[in-house]
Amino acid sequence: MNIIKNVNKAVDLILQQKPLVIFQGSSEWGPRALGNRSILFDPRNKNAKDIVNKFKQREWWRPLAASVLLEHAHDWFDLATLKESPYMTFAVGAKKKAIKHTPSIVHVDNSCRIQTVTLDQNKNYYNLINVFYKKTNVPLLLNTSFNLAGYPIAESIEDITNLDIPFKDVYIPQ
Amino acid sequence: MNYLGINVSHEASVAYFKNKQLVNVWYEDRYNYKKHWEPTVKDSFYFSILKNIHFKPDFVCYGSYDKRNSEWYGKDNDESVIAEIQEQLGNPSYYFTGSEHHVYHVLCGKYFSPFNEAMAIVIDAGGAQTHKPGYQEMQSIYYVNNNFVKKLWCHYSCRSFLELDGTWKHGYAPVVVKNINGTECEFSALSVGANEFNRVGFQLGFRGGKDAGKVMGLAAYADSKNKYDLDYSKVTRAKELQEETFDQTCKLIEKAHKYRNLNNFILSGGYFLNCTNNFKYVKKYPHLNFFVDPIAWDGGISIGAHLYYHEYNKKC
Repeated sequence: MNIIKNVNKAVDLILQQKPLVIFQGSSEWGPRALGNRSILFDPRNKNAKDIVNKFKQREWWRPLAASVLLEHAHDWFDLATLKESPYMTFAVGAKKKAIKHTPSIVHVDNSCRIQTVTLDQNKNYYNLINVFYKKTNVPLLLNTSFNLAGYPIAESIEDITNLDIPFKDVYIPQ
Repeated sequence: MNYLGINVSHEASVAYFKNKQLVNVWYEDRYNYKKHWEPTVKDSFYFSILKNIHFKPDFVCYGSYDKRNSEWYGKDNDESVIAEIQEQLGNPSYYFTGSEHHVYHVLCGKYFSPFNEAMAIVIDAGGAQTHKPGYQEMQSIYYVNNNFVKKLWCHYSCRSFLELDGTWKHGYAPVVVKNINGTECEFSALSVGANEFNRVGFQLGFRGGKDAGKVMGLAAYADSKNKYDLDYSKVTRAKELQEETFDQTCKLIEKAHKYRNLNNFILSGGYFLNCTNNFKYVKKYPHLNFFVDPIAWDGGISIGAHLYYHEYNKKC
């Protein structure tokens, strides 16, 4: 297991097209991974859905979600009358920009389940996405729960070391 | 004061409140690694409690989807399971009633919502058998504000028990409407909402409601015109299911709006993990404000049970 504490190094791994686990604080209170127990991937990679579904042992046709900086969310997605989607409870419409630049998080019907992220809601996660944005002009990351298909979300750091999980790079913000 | 809310049905969870503040929520399946775990008398130990609760709680509120009937649930009925957990906790004072499953969903959603008052719609695969054994609450409409909650309409269905055993003694029931303590109650044998996802999910070869997300994911391929290597008969059925349950929910939204003419809506219960349809309500009703409970599944019952007892004085 490779523990990363520096946000720039964490983003560099994503840019190298590696899955990155973000692990911080207690696990999420609801069923969705919202940046405390998430696996992240570069959403620009057109093969990302296949890659992530394969190592998570999910069916190839299942969609993957995204976390987007709130201030950019309306540029990339059609949220209709929603101001935000902080708990990933809506699959909104993907705009042309998202369809063109981040195909891996856009489902076949041009929808995407999104989490909008602000600095107040999750400082470390916001900063990570923001560094990715500064390097790529893309203000979002592919976000899937930190587990394998059929298993619950991993609770403790021991789960990572005790189980045979193919995610070796773990970002633990300081 | 240290309070716990504990869900003793699937998505078993423990909510820790310090005075009025929710401090944390733990899911037992993230500790024992058995997804969707629910306790039984033999397997009732909460490792999440062992790891996180280092005190005897001042009071505990339990919630369940209602397994009070020992004739159906045998030794794993709610009271027997709760007795085991009570022992683990050192036998603190506690509250339990199996009849308030949906109101716990409402109060969990209300807790996280930005609204001071709202209409709340709850849809799940089957909750409490409040008025008639064998008839589970599946859909309901509530009014809720900061200190008052009222159930206005509810649909109870015996469908789950029919599915278990075709010879179920009550047989297929017609739709019967009754007014019970100011609540309009419908009793039927209809399969709706998450219960229908459960039923169709099995038909499509999935694990029923546990794989509802797969059914939703599959439905999106309906307009892809045989482009992918998929069984398009299953895809079409999945899409039909999405549309059927969307229409059912729209009827409830419109019914709820007529009750109080409020524009704020809280959506809770496992059916509202359906993110695709959730956004369609936003699109269809732009004049309404929708908030989807972030813990819409039964994990949120632990929070709702605590709030019902301590903040709403057990009144609905």
